[in-house]
Parts: sequence; C-alpha cells; structure tokens
Amino acid sequence: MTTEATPSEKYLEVQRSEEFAGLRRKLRNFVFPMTVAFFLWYALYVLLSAYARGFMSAKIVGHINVALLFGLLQFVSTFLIAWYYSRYAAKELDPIADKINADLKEPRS
Amino acid sequence: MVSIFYLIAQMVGAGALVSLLLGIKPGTTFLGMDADTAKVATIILVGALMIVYVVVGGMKGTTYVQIVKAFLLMTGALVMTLLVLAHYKFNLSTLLGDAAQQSGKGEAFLQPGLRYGVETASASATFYSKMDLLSLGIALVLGTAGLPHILTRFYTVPTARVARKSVLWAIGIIGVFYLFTLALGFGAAALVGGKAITAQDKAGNTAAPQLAQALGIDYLGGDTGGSVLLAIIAAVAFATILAVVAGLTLASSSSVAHDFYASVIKRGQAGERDEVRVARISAFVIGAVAIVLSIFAQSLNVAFLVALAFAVAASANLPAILYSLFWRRFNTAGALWSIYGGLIAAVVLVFFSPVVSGSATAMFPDSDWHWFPLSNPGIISIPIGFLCGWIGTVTSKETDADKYAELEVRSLTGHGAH
Amino acid sequence: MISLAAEATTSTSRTLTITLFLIFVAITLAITIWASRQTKTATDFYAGGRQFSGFQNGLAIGGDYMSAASFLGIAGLIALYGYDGFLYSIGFLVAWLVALLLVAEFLRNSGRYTMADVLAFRMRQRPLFVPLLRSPRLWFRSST
Repeated sequence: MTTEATPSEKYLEVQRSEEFAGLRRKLRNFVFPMTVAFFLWYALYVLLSAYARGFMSAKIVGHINVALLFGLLQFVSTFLIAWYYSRYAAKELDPIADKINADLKEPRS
Repeated sequence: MVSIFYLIAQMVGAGALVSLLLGIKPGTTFLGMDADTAKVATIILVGALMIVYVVVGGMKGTTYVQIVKAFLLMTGALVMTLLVLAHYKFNLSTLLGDAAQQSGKGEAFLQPGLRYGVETASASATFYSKMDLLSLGIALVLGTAGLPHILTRFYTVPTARVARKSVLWAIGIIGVFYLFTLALGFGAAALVGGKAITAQDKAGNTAAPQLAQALGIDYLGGDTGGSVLLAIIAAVAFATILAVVAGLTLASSSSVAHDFYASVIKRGQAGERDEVRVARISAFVIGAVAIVLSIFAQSLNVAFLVALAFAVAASANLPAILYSLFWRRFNTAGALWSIYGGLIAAVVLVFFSPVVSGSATAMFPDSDWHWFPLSNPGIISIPIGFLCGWIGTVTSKETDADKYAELEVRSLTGHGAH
Repeated sequence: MISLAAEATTSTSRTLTITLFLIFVAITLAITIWASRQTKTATDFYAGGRQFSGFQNGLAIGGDYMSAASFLGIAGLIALYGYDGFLYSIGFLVAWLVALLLVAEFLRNSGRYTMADVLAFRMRQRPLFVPLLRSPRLWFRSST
C-alpha cells in the first residue's frame, strides 16, 4: 500500500530520517572541523608573516628561509586536504547519498 | 560589482601589456597612436572581442576557449619555469639569492614585509600595514567561493560529483601554476631587474613577458630569440585576458537575464529564447560599460584590483551562500541584510580608503577624502556581512522549515538536481 | 645576470605577437561559432549544456582563475617585492578549499544556473528586487 506524500512532506520526512541525519552528521563532522583547521593553519601563516619576521627570516638551506618553507607547506596541506576529502566523500558520503536518492525516486510504501 | 572589479582588472592588464610587446615607449608611436592611446585602443579591442565571444558562444563557447587558453598558459609557464631553473642549474637557493641581490634589497627581498605589513618608524602606520596584510589574506581565502563567474562554473557539469572532481582538478592545476609563478617572479627579479620592470610598467604587470624576452635572448640566441619568446608569451597573456573577460561578462549577463529579467520582470514566465536574447543584450551593455571604466583605472596593479573584487565577494556573497546552505533559521530578511550589509560595507570602505584617494597610486591622486586606513576592507567588511546576515535573520519572524528541508536534502543527496 | 637589450622589441617581434594573437582569436572565434550552433536552450547558454567532464571543467575553472592577475600581477609583485607576492598566491590557492568543502557540490545540487538560484530557495515569494548592477540579486522566484 503506497501513500503519496506531497513534495515538501516527502523532503521533511527524509530530513527527519535516521539515514539522512547520519549523512548530514558525517558530512558536517568532516567539513566543519576541516574548514576551521585549514583556516587556522592559514591564519597562522599570515600572522607569522605579519608579526614574526625574525622567525620567518631564519634560513634553512642556502637562501631558503622558514617563510618560503611555510608557504610551500601551505601548498602541500591544500593538496592533501583536497585529496583526503575526495577519498572520504567517496567512501563515507556518496554511498549514503546515493541510497537516499534512490529511495526518494520510488514512491514510499 | 564583483565581476566588474575583476573585469576591469583584466582589461587594465591588457592595456599594460600592449605597450610592452609592441615596444611603444612614451614618446614613440605605433600606427599613429602614442602609448596611451594604444592602451585605450587595446582595451576597446579586447572588450569588443569578448562581447562577441559571449553573445555568440554562450557558456559552451567560452568554456572551450577557456580550456584552450588554460592549456597554452600552462605550457608557456612551464617552459619559462624550466628555462629559469635551468639557468640556475635547478638550484632554487641560488635563484633566490640572485634575485635578492639584484633587487637591491638583499635578504629582505625573500622575507615578508616589503609590501604588506611594512614596518616603519611610525607605530600606527606599521599597525595599519599589518592589518592590511591580514585583511588581504582573509579576503583572498574567503572571496573565491563567492565569485559569481566561478560559481557559475559549477553548473556546467552533469552532477555534483563531477563538480567535485572538477574542483579537485582545478586545485591541482592552479597549485602547480602558482609554483610556476613563484619561480617566474623571482626569475624576473634576478634576470630582468626591478628597475627595468618598473620602467615599463610601474605596477609590475609586465614582469613575466619581460622575463620571457630575457630568457629568449639567453636561450634562443640574441635579440631575435628574445623577441620570439616575448611574442609567444605576450600572445598567451592576451589570450588569457580575453578568455577570462569573456567568462566574466557571461556570468554578469547570465545574472541579469536569469536572476533579474526572467525572475522579476517576467515572474518566471520568460520564454527561453527571450531570456537568452536578454542575456546577449546585457552582455553587450556590460561589456561596453566595462570598457569605459577600465580606461579610467589604468594605474592600479592588476592583482590588487582583483583582491578588492575578492573582498566584496567574501563580504556580500559568501555569507549569504553559507547561511542558505547550512543554517535552518536563515530567511529572506537575513539574505537581504547579508548581501546589502556586506556589499555596502566593502564598497564604502574602499571608497574612503587610500585606494581611491589620498595616495600616490590612488584613482584620484590629487584629492584626499580617505579616512579608512586599509587598502583592503576585508577584515572589517566580511564580519559585517556575516553579522548583518545573522541580525537580519533573527529579527525577522519568518521561518520556512519546509523549504530548508527541501534544500538540505537536495543539496546533500543530489535529488532533483537538473 | 642576463643583460637586456636596450630596445624592448623590434618590428619582427611586434608582427609575430600580433600574428600569434590573431591566430588564437581566429581559432577561438571558430570554436565559438561552432558552439553557437549548438547553443539553443537556456541550459546551453548558461551552463554549456552541462556536458563537460571533470577534467575539462577543472581546466576551464583553472583557466578562469589563472588570469592576468595570476600570471602578470603575481609574477610582477614577486618580481618587485619578493616574498609578499608569494603570499598572494597562497591566499588564492587555499581559497579553493572553501569552494571544495562548503560550496561546489551543494550549489550544483540545489541550483540551476546562478548563485541567486540557491538564495531564492530560502526566500519568500514576494517581489524584493534590488537594482544592483552585476551582483547577486535577490529575487523572489516561484519555486520550481
């Protein structure tokens, strides 16, 4: 026996479901902390560039100083975070999203 | 607003470029035009071409053009980077050392502080300079995700998964490219020299082509070699500008046609052909306006103009987008407040900053009405944008749980995306 | 250090540049005209028919981003001011994480062509437009 829900009821129902809540939680638990993290890491870099000139000028090898290294590390961290997100999303988020999507397409019974 | 700043930046770049590569020094002429007229003529020509691209090709056309140009640019930058590194036997340290020495500023050249967060005897000037650095840093990071012409590119793919992949690719490509510009910038400092660069363009926009020329002379043999490499890189740079301004104009005209005309004037009832026609017309108008404005903005460094665009994007657009996607309580009032608040804050602060008046490099160098000490408003205007959005939302009783449910479910699962 | 010839260019160089550029324009205009034949619907005009692959779109996004500001502006800033120019490019790059984590997919899933589509989702259906030029407009919109 199928019941026809109006579109908005349908979405509300999904939103309240365990499955969706799980998806949302997994997403937010990754994305929000990661955003804060990379933002703070970047902010650290900018603040040090502004206020810790002595530290940043210290040389490491030849003319390569801390500032340059720090800058390059930002590149590395960006690539890593992007890569990590793609793996996490494919493994943890996409399967659930696909399932919910598929379920939504069928009339609920 | 956002796209216009960006658009002007690109066209100014075109103007700056032409006098280098056509060898038009102040006082000489080319095709009967002097240096300044030639710059204006270039701006007009680039503007006209971009209008054609958008009106005729729409997103398909501009995207393919963008792809071709990206390929050319990456190749050109790669070649130049390899040549620069080869000159220093792939020793980054010696490259840096030479650059530092040639700059006349010694080791300070390799350290932060020559341009942003400059430390001077005056404590307050130092303070503001460092604040400016922070402001710039924040505006850059938050602005990208608010740039309309970038956002619109997330819609050119079939699904959100593909959108994710395209951003991943973009991060890789852009990251590598900025590593190239690192080498190219220091290479130019070492092999061309600050004086030669500022002699050609005081804001430094011609450093890369000049470096190309120097490399050509060194590696391809004599002046001809220099001319050839210069010509190639300059042509690529022009192509770059053309492709980007087309994209910007497209984003703007799409907004006028889809968001304004179709939704408001026609209340969602616009026929498709009609809407597309309006988009084409507005592309024309926007392009024309941009041409005129660019002619007035020629003395500013291009990266700087772009940073301003970012500040506005981060203050007005980003809060609205993030709140819309993630905040249940967000409502109409909140959206209006955040966009207006952020936009007005950013624009007003810029207007009263040293960028517009009161300094040698300002738009109006002979007047002074500035009271805002920073050249980038981000550190103030971005929080204002978020704050206004919050205030607007909580002071209005409107809520719409249904709508949010639909938005959240759809945005996370992709259901109903078309 | 390479010593730069006193005169920046010769007329051969000028001709070469202009020629190369015109070739690029010719090729891209041809592409554009070809594309226009396939541009019939609004989806085609605004979103290229939504047919681009991840790699193609990634290149296009990169292309849009690697503009005069990146190439000329940043190289120039680094050339004149050294390290501070590099700082700029870092900001430009890290910014993409915001787009990746918080914006890109969600926007694609919930909108059609422009950012304002998403905003309109959250807004009531009343005429509230703002005559701002070329910036995100807030329009009411009858819901899809």
